[in-house]
Amino acid sequence: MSLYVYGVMPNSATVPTVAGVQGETLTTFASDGHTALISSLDGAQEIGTPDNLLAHSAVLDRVAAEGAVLPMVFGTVVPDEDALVEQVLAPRADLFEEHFARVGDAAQFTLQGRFVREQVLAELVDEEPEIAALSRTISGTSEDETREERIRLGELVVNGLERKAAGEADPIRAAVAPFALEVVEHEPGQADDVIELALLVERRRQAEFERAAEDLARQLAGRVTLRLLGPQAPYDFVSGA
Amino acid sequence: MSSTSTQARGGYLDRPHSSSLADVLNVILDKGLVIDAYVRVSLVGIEVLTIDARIVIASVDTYLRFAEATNRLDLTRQGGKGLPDMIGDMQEDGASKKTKGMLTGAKEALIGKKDDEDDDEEQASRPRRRRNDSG
Repeated sequence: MSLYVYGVMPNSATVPTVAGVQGETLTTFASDGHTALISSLDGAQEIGTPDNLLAHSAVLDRVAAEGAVLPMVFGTVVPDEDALVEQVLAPRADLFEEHFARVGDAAQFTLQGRFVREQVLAELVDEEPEIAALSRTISGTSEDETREERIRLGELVVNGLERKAAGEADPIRAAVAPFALEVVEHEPGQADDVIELALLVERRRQAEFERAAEDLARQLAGRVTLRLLGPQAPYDFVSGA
Repeated sequence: MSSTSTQARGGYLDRPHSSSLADVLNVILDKGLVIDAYVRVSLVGIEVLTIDARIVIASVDTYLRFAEATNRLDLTRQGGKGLPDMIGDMQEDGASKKTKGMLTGAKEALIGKKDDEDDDEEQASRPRRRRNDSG
């Protein structure tokens, strides 16, 4: 029976009562000054499933809501408790301390800003004559009939969205960054994404950070929607190990 | 529950109680401490999205989708097809796939693919199409 390892916590941490990977009960194993959050794993079953990935993140985020935790990458498995001590807890105790010092009593929040499509598309049609003209050109035609015009139109729109996003992103970043110890910016995933930030926020500042995010969302409403995930484990702030 | 119920919910900020599969893929997958290559299992059954997002955004497929969306919005503003229809269609690209429960579905949600039937045929042909005569 192998052990699935979610992350490492200080020895004082409590274990959340949520189901782990493969539905297993969470337990802990302490050694060398730190506590590993683990559950038993049936190695014969496939680990890399969507359900297990969601369980991994749900467990870590639940812990992060209450206290410090250093997340392991999804799919970290050790054969037994001896290996957990010899390969993970003992040789890396100093590294874990460094990470705890960096992360401190903070959790990650992920803030995503996305354009309200109908709003910004309308702006682009109004602002750019070529977009308006091409839009009329493809009206009532099939994709095959006006393929080149459609590609040109789409390219202009996507470029326009990118330009608008650059203008929107700065004030968003400026409004929330002061509440964070560190900020990491993610690459946009879709053409109408404005910004995606991972923010490391101390627990004592969480409430004011959330209020600032809510205020910002109200200011941007109708043009940009803001989505806030968290508290999460500090996934973006334990890299470089 | 105690941790989530105390969160501020003023109404404008979208504040999901838990991360969706698309969120987890996007935000979390492959992040965290790496202990050692040998203790980390391979992600069997997971098709990891490693495509650079910028390449996906600057793709013909994305251009065609946004051209269609722009045209439909334009028609709507001139009194054509109802706006709710259009928004519904656009959102289906992302939202419906998130509930599929398969990672491939979420992967497509992240990069905004259309229906699978379309893709089998169109994906095969699109990358080979020439774009250099468009400008």
